[in-house]
Amino acid sequence: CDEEYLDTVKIGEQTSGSFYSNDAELIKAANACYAPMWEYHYNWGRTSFGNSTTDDAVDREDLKMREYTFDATAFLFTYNYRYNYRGILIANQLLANVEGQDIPGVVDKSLQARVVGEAKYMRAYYYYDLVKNFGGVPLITEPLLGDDLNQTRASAKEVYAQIESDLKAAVEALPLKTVYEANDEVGRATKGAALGMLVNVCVSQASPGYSSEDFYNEDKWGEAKTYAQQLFALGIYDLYQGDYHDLFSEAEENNEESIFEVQFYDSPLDDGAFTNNGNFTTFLNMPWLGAADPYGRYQATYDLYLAFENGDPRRDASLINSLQYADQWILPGETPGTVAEDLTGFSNYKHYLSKERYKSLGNFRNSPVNERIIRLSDIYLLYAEACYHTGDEANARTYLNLVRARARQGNAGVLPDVTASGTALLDAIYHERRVELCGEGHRFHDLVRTGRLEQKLKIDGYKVKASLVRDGSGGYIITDSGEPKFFATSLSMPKNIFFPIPQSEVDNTGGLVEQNPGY
Amino acid sequence: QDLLVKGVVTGAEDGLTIPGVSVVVKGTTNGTTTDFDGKYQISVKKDAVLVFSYIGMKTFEMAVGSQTVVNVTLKNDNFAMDEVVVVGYGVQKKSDITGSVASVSSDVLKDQPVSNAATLLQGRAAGVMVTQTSGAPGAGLSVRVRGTGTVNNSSPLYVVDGILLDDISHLNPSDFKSVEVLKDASATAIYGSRGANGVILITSKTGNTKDVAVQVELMTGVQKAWNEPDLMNTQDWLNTYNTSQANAAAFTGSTAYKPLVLQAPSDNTNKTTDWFDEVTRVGKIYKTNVIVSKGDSNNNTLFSAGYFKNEGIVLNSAYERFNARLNNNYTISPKWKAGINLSLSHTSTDRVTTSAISGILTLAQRVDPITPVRQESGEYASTPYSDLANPVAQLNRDVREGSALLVLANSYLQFEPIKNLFIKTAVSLNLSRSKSKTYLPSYDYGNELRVTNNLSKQTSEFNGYLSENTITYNMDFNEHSISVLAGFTAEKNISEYIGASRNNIPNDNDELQYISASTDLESTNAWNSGQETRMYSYLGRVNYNYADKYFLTASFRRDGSSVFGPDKRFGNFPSMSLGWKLRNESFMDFIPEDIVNRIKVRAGWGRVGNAKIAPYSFASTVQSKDSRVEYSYVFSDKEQAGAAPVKMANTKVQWETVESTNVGLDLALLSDKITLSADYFKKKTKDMLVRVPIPQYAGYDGSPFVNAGTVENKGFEIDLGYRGKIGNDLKFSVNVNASHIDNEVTSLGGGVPIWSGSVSLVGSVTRTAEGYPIGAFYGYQVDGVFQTDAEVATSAQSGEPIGAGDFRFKDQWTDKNDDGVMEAPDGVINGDDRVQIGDPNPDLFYGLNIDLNYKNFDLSMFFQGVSGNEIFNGFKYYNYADIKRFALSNDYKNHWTPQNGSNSMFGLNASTVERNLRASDFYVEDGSYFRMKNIQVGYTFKDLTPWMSNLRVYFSGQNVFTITGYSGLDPEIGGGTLTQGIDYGTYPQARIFSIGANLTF
Repeated sequence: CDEEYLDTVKIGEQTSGSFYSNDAELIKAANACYAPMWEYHYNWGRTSFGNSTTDDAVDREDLKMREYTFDATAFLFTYNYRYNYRGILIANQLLANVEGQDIPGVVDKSLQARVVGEAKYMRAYYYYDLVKNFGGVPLITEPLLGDDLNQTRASAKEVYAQIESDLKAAVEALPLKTVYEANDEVGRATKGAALGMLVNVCVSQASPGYSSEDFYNEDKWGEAKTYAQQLFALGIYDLYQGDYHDLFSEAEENNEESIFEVQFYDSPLDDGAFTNNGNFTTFLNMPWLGAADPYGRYQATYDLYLAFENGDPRRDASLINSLQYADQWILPGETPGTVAEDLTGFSNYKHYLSKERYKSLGNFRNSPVNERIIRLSDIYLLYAEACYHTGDEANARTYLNLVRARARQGNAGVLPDVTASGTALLDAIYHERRVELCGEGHRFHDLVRTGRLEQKLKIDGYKVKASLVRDGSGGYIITDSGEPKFFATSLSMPKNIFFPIPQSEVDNTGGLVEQNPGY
Repeated sequence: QDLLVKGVVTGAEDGLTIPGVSVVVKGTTNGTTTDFDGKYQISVKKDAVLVFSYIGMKTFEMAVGSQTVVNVTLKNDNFAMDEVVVVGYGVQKKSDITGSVASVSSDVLKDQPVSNAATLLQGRAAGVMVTQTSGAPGAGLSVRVRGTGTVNNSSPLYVVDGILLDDISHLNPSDFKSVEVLKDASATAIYGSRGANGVILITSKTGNTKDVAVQVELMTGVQKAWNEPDLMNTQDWLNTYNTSQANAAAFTGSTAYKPLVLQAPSDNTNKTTDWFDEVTRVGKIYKTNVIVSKGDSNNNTLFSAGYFKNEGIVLNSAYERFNARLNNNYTISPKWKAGINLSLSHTSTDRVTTSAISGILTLAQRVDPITPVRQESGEYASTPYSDLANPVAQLNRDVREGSALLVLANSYLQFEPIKNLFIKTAVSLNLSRSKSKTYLPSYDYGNELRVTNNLSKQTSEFNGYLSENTITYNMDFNEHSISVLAGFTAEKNISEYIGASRNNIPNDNDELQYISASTDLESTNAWNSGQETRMYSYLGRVNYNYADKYFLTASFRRDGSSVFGPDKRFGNFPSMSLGWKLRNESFMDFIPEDIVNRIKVRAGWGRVGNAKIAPYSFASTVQSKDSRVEYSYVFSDKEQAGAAPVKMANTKVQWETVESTNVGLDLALLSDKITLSADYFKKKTKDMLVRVPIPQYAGYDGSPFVNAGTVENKGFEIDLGYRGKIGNDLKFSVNVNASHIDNEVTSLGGGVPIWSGSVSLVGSVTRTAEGYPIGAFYGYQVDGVFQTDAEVATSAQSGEPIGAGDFRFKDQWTDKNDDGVMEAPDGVINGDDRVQIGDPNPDLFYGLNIDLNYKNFDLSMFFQGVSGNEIFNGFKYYNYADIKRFALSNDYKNHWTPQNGSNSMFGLNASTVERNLRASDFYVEDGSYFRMKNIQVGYTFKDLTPWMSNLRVYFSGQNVFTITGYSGLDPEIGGGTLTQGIDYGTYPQARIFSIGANLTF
């Protein structure tokens, strides 16, 4: 028999040999770079690692994150690690096959440059998430072929260097957000997003909480400022001046303040977050009325409520108390229920859907609301911090007060401009970051990088729960429940600067990928 | 002048008439066969000599003289040993076989209420371990021939009338004449790259009576789960939950732990819902078969039709099957023969979700007891305490139907140009068409709802084509006997799946369960995929025998397969085996023949392959999704497609090879009253395809296959039979078989241990590592319960937030630096303290069969069991995690308290309970069992009416009793290769009582 008889191929599926060959395929390849951000555990991890490890929120189902008794087997670490590296592989495949290649089928050479920029941006995005969570990790910049699976952890310094290099290239290659707006492609990586990431990445390296880490470099404050100034100079971003609560609504997605978001939508094909497209974080953050939906797993603390200055409109725009929720989350004709298993009295109001919208979706896991990743106010506050550290207190106050001015919404009686200097100014910036960005997944990293994690959670402790009553005229009286403060007594530094590398990775590499100290 | 001679042929052993006996006038081709009643008639010349021959009987010659009635009694010839058995591309006398082959008569399954023919091997053939994976209707079987040879697919190859199949569940066991199991590589090497897991050869019946014979089988039975879970009632459940919360509040000082707030409709503490009872029922089984046949060895025909229905023990679960078969053989001329076997099966299934943890019976063991089935309004209720669904509602609501049509056709043409040279060409078709429908209506039970209904349909088709061409030459000279076989085969298998789904079907009526009934075009999802594989092979075999004393068999096969990379397509699979019939040596004559009538020793070696792996893994495919996320993304609120090559390519992958050696001994004593067959074997799997879990930093989805590991199975098998008589009328036979297999992974090719057997919320519980059996259970050892908080503080777990009443895990000696020297316990409990805590492989598995006949009564009992294996009772997690608001086991009432000081069951503390539930020997239990698989009592009426020659009525009981110490629902747990012996909440086997009748016309 002729051996040609055996020359069959895999049918019904494209193989890699014929991919990356034309414009349409480059777009598909670039689109895939973003998709790991959709993975529901991955998205869930932001809420879990960023908020409920801190004095801002608690996790009703799993107290280990709050108590700092988690270990390397916690599945959210595994998914975070896995999907960061899935995204890195997808980007690496694109870069290996597209960057600098002469592809005859590609007509639009500027598209080729753009998708390379998108891949570099997303690779940097995933590495930045990894280096914040785990410290130095294996630094993979090309698809591995099988005989090279003996990698060890690169230093965090090397990872940061790679991130910066990718982002700088992305700044050059990527268009402005306005270009995408004109082409109905909002959501792609932009020049502004790359600059915003660079500000974050530089601030991380310069922050005092990391002073014992190899990547620590105070000079990065100056670079952070430069990148922020470049971002401001683009002239296309501005603080949103509408109702602060609306900033997080479905209607105000990708608005003038938004620099980067994870895009979600109400897909007619999928009915939840488990395969795609639904923002699981909405489902997790809305309180529980006893039924399966919503889930109420994460609740905001009384301590966070207390952190807001009196009269700060952002308090009621960011937090909703349980009685108010029950009153509000009903359809006409329904009677309010009660929030079940109410641990704190508050919920995150930035992740919210009306009951009408919920009913029209059919499933909370199908929440179409985007997850805000980088907002201009975040960059303003990082810029203020960088100015402070480089001796420019005037500019620090200016940008801090821009954020406060927007928050006060014209009410001159609240949120006066900060006039402090020295450490009081730094504390004011820290305070502003907490209340401005609460519930958005920034708190843990902010506490770690500024070296305040142990002080806040273990030494100072925090109030978890408030006592709530209706005042009889539509308002609510919120008082101390009298419960003792919570102290994260199992937290220990420097161990808790990073989370543990997933145990499965340590096991599967036979220990070649070493565990973080203390785990 | 011709003489018309008539007579009846009966067996000397049992006095029963024998149909199908060949009656030939010696020296001529003039002959006939006996009819169904053993009668014959033939015209002969006076003084002719008639030769009566029949498989398994001594050939008998009789001079007719001038008699017109010649009744003959045939004696057994070396009972069971001179049957002709099928050995793959040919047949061989059983007594001449040099490899390891087990033969099972299809009679053993005849009147049992089982649907899957592979069940008949359970406990019947030494070395063959069959486990039912579930008691659900139409559920699968796990079949292992001589142990688990690989971490991959270890299922044997089935060859039905020459057609190669992976599954025979759709076939009608009543159509089978014989089943042979080729166990060692010397026997299976003729099947080359598919012989590694053993080969099960099935031959269907052919017509063998001169007159038309009609047989009818009728059976009906009832079934119920033989075992039920022992769960707490509402009061106890609530007390346990609340106590655990109160203890946690006291222990942690936190107000986060509170008693359960009762909510409607799950607030009546005086009522307990027995969910298991609610979803199960008394099921029914029906079976009907009709076989019509006629023929002799030259021309014969058989037609059969069968119907089987199993209304399962779970509400709305059912399996139904129609079978039809036509087997015809023709002698066209003395040199030409042809034949066709055609089998049709149609199956339909009302499925229930059976997958591990979301399966309906497992759900029914998890939902809290306080939630009622229905609300007061009559609508279904849904628990407010957990996210578990109402299983009764799901069974009555969701539609999950499947059906399949399967066609097997095999036709051949044989030419015998010179005597004993056979040229045969055969073409086979293996076709299947199946479709499935899943309709999930919308509903709102308060706490549980589905807003949009969804209909999903899928059809698949499979076309398999096989061409086999062989030449056989048989030659005898002096005392030499040689048979040579050479052949060429080629095959092509093509499959295709196509399906679609859409939301918003207008209503729940059956007639609207079509995709186009919905106008919600936007919600359409469609998929279509396929696969094509090809293979061609050369094969050859020589059988040589000298003086009926020395036997040699050598075979060779070369396979070429399209599923591997261009450099790895071909494999060679040789074998050789030897046999020596010692009894036939004159120097053995000092032992009288009536004491020991057979002694044979056998030895063989062979190399075979296992090609059951995912094809085309040498190509890296561009994926549009992985298991968790689609690679599309949204821009400006519109989804755009995305794709990426995220599967790692592997051009080096090839089939695994298995080398095995076998030595065996066959003995028969006291004129075959006692028979003994014993084998020792060693089976080494080389180049085992291991999905070596690659580091996650590589980013790939899944892990590529690598030919890296080696596994060794060695063991022995024994098969012992005794048949005898008490008085004239009571005849009995007893058969015992037992097997012992040691399984060890001898190398993973430098790869790291393979973790598998993921138990939800517990983690991976099996670890396959060098020096350990495949899928060994791995975890912590429980070393009692901490009696005081002070004990915790001075223990290796002092850093954990636990207290009195929690498990103390053993701090093990470990070899941290891999220098072969164990280091002392390090005072910390972490991943290093996990050890092997159990082995899913039994020390022994066995079957015991007892048949009794007294006049017209018959009684048969069949027992089967395993011993020395462990089960990982993974389901236990769900009934002991008192924080999850799931149902709790009554056994949990024996929990630790300061008063009882239990050292085996942790106390109630919601804040620490999950620390006790990590993978440990708490879950590991002895899985030994002894089960009465079947008992049958029958009575046969003979010559009841002129038109009916035989009527047998019987009563049969299945899974009548089980002796086991295992605490789960059923110790018979199948599972995948790396998840063997993990109980994910196994369905209990059904206990079936049935009655039936067999009619012969």
